[in-house]
Amino acid sequence: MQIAVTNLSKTFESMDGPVAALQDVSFTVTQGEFYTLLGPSGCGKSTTLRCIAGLENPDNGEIRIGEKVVVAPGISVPANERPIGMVFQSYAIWPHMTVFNNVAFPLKQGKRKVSRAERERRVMEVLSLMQMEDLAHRPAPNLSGGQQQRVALARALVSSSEVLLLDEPLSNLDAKLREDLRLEIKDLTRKLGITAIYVTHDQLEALAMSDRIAVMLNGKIVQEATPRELYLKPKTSFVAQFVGQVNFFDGTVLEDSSDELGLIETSQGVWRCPVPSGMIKGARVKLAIRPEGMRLTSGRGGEEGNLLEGRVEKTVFLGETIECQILVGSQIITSKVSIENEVNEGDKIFLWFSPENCLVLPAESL
Amino acid sequence: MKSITLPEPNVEDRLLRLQNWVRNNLLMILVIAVVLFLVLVPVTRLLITSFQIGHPAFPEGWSMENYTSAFSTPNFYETLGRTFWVAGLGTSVSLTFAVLVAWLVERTDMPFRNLAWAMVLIPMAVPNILFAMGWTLLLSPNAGALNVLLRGALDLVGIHLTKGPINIFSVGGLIFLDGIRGVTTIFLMVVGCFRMMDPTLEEAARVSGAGGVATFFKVTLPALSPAILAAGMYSFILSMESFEAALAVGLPGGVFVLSTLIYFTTRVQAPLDYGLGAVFGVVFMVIMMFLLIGYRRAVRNADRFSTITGKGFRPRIISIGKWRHPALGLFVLFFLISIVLPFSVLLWTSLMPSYRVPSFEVMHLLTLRNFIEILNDERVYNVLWNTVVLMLVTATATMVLAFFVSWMIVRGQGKGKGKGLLDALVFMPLSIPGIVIAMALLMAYLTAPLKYLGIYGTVWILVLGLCVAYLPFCTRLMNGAIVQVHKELEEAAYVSGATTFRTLIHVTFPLLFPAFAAGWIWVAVHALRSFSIPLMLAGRRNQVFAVLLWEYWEDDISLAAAMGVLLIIALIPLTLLMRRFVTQFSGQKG
Repeated sequence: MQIAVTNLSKTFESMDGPVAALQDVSFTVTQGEFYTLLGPSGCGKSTTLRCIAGLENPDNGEIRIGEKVVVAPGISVPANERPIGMVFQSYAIWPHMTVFNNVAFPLKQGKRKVSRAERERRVMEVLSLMQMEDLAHRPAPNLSGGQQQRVALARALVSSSEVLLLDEPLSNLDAKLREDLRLEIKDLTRKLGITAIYVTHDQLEALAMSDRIAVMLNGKIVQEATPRELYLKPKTSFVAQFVGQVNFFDGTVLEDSSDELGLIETSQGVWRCPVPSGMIKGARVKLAIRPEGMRLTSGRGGEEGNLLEGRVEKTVFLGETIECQILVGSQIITSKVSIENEVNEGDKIFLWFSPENCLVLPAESL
Repeated sequence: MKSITLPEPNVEDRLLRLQNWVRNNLLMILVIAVVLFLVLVPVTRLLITSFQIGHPAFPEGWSMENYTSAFSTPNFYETLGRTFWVAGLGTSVSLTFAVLVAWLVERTDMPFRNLAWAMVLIPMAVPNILFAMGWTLLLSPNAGALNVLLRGALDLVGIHLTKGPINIFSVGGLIFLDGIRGVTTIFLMVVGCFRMMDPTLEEAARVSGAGGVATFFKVTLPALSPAILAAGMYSFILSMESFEAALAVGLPGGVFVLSTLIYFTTRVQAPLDYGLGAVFGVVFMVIMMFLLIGYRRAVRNADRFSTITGKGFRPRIISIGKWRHPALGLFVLFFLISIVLPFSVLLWTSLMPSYRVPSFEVMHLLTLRNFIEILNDERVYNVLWNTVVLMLVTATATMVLAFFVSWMIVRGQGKGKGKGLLDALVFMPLSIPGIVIAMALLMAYLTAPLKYLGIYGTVWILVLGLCVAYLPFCTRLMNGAIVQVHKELEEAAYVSGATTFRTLIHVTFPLLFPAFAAGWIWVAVHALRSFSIPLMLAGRRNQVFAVLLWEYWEDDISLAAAMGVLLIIALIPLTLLMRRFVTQFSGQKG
């Protein structure tokens, strides 16, 4: 089922007057897509999801689930009449019921009601999908966090709603479990062909699971893209640093060029970078380089490309790489170098990076 | 915020929206309607009656006459003043005693602390009216058992009296009874603060060179003063409303307070004067409203004073050395005064053909005749039935209503004007003394249009009265419980396809059941011992135990004593059970 959100707006009353929680949020999720709303807390991602679920009402805007308009001026279909399943951050497993009864609950309500035999069959089916059929008759509170979240997922899936909403479902779990469930959820939605909207503040989760990601800030969508595009071609410095580690340099365009590489002047030197069209000579820019985009090199000269000189302040051995904090001018930058290199604190080093690894962003954007 | 101009909706659209709104808020509308009916209708009727002359059923026109006549009666001012200072003195007695006792039990090395706790708690089981009756038998000026004893003692030192020396039918008697009754309430409100108080405050005083006594008066008490003040105000409000003692010892002694003045004006004197009673009720209500606002402020201040950190430590225990056993004596004394003596004299009287001063000479008169007579009184069975119906229906109705009201107050969506209205409405009855609620109901259901419901004089009007009176406590209890249920548990049900109503029944209610049960028991126990409302609304068919007790008291004291003994025996286990449940679910004091 396709979900279309158009011009969603909502304001909350706070101590210092009204605060815009959502400002003209629009996006479309296609049938079977795994779509993620990513952003820091308070950015409006959960509010958007809860508007789709019907747990909150926007002040304005329209939401369609499939062909049905569920939110529009004057219309608000109650949550229980929307064709959705939802998983919550707190699991929201009912402690007074067994696992089986938790999962069976949706099949006893309204239009989703099915016969007793059918109910039993479907509950056991979805529980076996989660590899939880042995725990069916356990009281719900006697489960671990991971098991509870599986039950929550089973409950959201049991009524075969074609839309699955997930509100930070993994954030209460420990790291290892989180990784397992991440894969599990992704496989499951793919297998069932279900349309999923996933809310998280964890960029790794978003990058690993999504078909498409919308990054939100202050109630607006800042960028909507595939994980790869988001990581490699963030539109703003906020997005760049939110989806991964990044070093920023303030600079000015020395030479603009629409097809070829241009030149950027920074306090650390003049570098050759792809300058997007629209940024003309003299424009103030932010240059972004990811830590893994830089390579340790022996010295000046020789290779083509950009160079940076600095002193190693701190090294952290991470196993697969070494993370170095390097003092460049008055600025500390982070670089990941391969473990063949021997770097010691206090070393003077040179870092090399190719123009393709440079990203030129507008200076005053979020 | 951007403003968006929408096209002017047409009438049909508006109707549709209204319809939608009604459909989505049906439960809210229904609940507000019920609460409005329960609370606002009687209060409005009371106000109307206060401006009418003649019997409320046959008013003879609008007038301020009731007000002018009330405010020109010197007796009224005197009673008003007395109500204040009796409550004030009574509260000072309870406050001093309760704070001392709470400190002893929580902060000193006094022996038998559990026993001490029990000795403070058990007296709660004795209804106020029985406590007052017990002390009437002990201290009535002529034949009061203690007075006889005292006279005997005074005889030995050469003072010969034929009456007294103590007369319970006096202002002093009233203050004494109110003061003792307030102790347990205040104790329960302050004992937690003593337990959870940050011990470093006191330790800092000790290392600064202050002695034990100085520390108590200079640090401990001031640090706890907001909490103590709040408890004192609460107790003062309860004393202002107290009716039982004022009825049992005040009325015979001609000592009126506001509550008894209302009772006397609308139920006893001839001819009855409803208009004047309504004026007294309105004045009473306004005073209580101000007191309650003051109380709310005080509580807020108490919260701001963060001496209580809730870290869950037990503060340092102070050694009181040679005072350890005398301290326990204080508890024994309280236990004697508040339950042993009144219960003993009631038990004694219940075994006598008529009241006799306790002595060995009359032991041969001991008899169970009174109990047998009660069992043979056919009124008792009617009363038993009424009481059981009153307890069960009131408890169920009040708690179901409280459940819905609290759910709406806690979970109500967004700004919701209905939410604020509900909160104010269920808070309001706190400021209406029981006797005034009863009077208002009496007037409302005695007159058109509500008289056509035909519940005047039945047990149902008692249910209404108690429901209104207990609603504030029950909603606060349920508010606390609902806050603890994670909102997402309900939301998970909505997105599973459940309607609001089904969610409430299948998810919220089962999760709240323990708190619901606690509240239910609280209401049932309070309904069993309720006195002012049933007495005020009593007819021939709707008497409950407390009312029959009063009727017996007026014509055969030993029968009343027997009835009282039976009631206390039933109430002790019920009260302890109730406290156990209620303290588990709220910070409220049962």
